[in-house]
Amino acid sequence: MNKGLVQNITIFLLIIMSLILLSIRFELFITTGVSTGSIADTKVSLPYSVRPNSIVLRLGAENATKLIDTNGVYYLEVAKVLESSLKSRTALEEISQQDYRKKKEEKSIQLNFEPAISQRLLYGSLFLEDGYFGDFGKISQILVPQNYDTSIYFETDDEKYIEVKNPTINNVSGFENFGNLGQRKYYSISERFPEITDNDVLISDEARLSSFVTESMFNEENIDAALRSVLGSKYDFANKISEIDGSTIVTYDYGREIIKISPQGKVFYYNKEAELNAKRTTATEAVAIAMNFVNAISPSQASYVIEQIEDYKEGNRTGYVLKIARRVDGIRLSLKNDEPAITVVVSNGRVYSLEGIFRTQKVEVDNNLAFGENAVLLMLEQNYDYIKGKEPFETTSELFDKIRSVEYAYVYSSDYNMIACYRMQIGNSTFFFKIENAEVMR
Amino acid sequence: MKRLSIAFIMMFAIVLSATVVGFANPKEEVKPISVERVIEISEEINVEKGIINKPKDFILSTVNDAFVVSGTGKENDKVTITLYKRVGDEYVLMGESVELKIGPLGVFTKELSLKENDPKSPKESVISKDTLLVLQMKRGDVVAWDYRLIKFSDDKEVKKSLDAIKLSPLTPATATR
Repeated sequence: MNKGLVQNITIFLLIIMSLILLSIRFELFITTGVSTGSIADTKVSLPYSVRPNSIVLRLGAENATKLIDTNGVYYLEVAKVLESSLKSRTALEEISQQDYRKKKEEKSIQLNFEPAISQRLLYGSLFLEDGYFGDFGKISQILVPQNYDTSIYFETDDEKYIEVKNPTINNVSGFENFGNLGQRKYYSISERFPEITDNDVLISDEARLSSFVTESMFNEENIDAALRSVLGSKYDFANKISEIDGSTIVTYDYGREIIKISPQGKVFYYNKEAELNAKRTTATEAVAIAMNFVNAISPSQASYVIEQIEDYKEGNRTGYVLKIARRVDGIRLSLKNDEPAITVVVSNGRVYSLEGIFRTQKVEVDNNLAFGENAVLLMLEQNYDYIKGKEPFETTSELFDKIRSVEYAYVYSSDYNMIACYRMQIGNSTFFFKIENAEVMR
Repeated sequence: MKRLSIAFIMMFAIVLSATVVGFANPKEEVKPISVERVIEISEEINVEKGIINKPKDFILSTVNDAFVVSGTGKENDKVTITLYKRVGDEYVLMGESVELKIGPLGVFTKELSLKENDPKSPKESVISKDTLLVLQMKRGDVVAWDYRLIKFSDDKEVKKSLDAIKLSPLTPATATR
């Protein structure tokens, strides 16, 4: 064969190979996985991702029930009204606590956010521009009247009450049917004991919530699919290592992108690419990117809610830190310290890192017969001295006045099982009491 | 001497048994209440709301077929709640009394059903006519409170009462002892 021809073919092959390698290196012809995400994909589902712990339906004074919005469909109806009210707001006014409570005596929908959410997160989830509409803290409650009143009302975690005026009636479609769900009556503490407190926090008589023995969401059948949905076709070029303790580590491009999944379902992800290419990211984009990523890595059809968004800065790099909690049948799941179990950092338009626990229910543990009734009061009585030690009070009246919220919650135990609890915010302290026996979880 | 010892032991046993009987606390028999007595009490109360002799410290609320009795007391107080229904000229017991012991919070609360289980029918009957609730609170051996709280004279009155409660917050009625 002609020597020149061999040289030409060799050079041509080298060029082709280098082009292929370059395209892999700079992700020119391969799918990039979900670390970048797209807002368009989440336009419909995003409001589900920032939603309240519970929805209170008031059909009149002292006639209220609480909905556990299992899959967010009820909130989605309220979110449409919320979005249009915030878009068309004409004025903003601080009102007194007394006036706010009067509004709560009328037909309304009340959204309880525990922990409270920032204005920016609420705005981001409703696809409004990065919002800041007043010098007040995080939003712990939103009241959407269902009568002639065209305003909506916010309660903040620093106990301010804000009226957001707008010209249209806040009619949530299907509101009347919300109540036809066989929900139990919820009583305010003041309705029971008006002689000693005027606290309008709602409590129920019953504590009906099962705990769960759990297992890692990842197993031999689904782990590859989860990794592929994160890395895309890069997974074909990645190195996979199985460690002695059962952890799986996948690295791409000499550690530029790393995923580690432990047998307990703990996930660690890091992507150096986010350090390199500067790109401005809005809060809404960050929310969308983080939710896409978490949904992609989660093998089961679990429901996740973003609870916090904070600014992130490291060197010249900026972005957002997002805290994400799972909802189990609509109930919030957190760590013992009340923190969400998943933290995502989004920077330069992609996920920079993720740390989280991904576990699923295996065996249901029935707690339903633990307390026949008056569960909340029994829990307070059983832990009277403990609460007093953490959040001092002199009289029962003072204790009742300090109760800011009472919600169902799931908490990860030290062996990562989901323990059904009542989460009570009393003064500045958060308490978790097990539904099984009223013991302190935290 | 032997006989004297036996007699002493016997007397000691008799004294001891009497002491034991003295400490025993057999459940008091719940006697029917005459209609005349209820009417006598009813004259003092707000019949329109179906609430009788509602004392200041005891709260009553309802939205459907159940109602809640709540109140305040002191730790270790014992509360007994008894429901009666009218049969002829008397109000007779509707079931077992409910007994509550007040804990460190110094409050009590109890939800009760207004529906009556009819053994002849598997379904629950409608709200009973002429339901009477008697609440007693004991502090040690002393009866601290003893009130008749509700008399629902008929279904319409019950509904009216329930609607009133649904539409407006309860205002404490004047207490009478």
